[in-house]
Amino acid sequence: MRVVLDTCILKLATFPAEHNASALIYELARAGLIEAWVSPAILEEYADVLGDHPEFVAEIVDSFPVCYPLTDLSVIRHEPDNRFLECALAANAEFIVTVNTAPGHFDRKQYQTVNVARPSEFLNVPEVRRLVKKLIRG
Amino acid sequence: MSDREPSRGQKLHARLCHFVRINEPQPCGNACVGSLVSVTAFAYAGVMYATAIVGGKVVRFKLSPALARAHRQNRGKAMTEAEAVAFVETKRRARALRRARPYLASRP
Repeated sequence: MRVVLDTCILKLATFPAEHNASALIYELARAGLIEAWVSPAILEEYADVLGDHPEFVAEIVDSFPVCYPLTDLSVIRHEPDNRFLECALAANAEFIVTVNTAPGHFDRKQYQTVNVARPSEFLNVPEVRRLVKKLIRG
Repeated sequence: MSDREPSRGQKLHARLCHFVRINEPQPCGNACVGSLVSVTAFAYAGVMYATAIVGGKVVRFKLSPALARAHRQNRGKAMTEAEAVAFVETKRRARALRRARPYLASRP
């Protein structure tokens, strides 16, 4: 399964919360159970936002496949969010996982073939639940 | 066995000495037994777990070394979803300003 992770997801993953869905999604990607795609623009943003945790950024660079979108989209009103949509469409991803579903951001449930899901929604997709079981079993 | 070759006990101890905080390499004749042990090294060697709710059940999973380190760095801190969004937006704005600086500087 191919996904694109919004930067907020990775930022939230770095905080010790009681129940951290974002961290679990990251671990699924690191284990190779889901493919979390990035583009150079997204990687740049990850590095900027997660600058306090260089090892974490290095791990992301090592484990996330990179694609190079050829088209510039202007679908989402908040311009920087279009980079994630461009990457998702270029990589043929099924999901963009984000917490930013406010108007003007990822406010639609679907952009062509790409679904938008919050972390908890994503983890409740039957296929993802199977992958979580696989991850826990090791 | 030659004189220079360390014994099995010395080899084992040298391995353990990896976790011992010493400033200079010391001959390891069990002299460093009882010296201060680096808590940090042990903490980083340890495995860290987190939990999440999947399908109404709490699942426990292992964190990667880098994510575990980030969790240790952020121990005692918390961030809500709204704060995370605001944080990312602040960073984006700062980056956009950095990029626009040459243009803004050249304006009359």
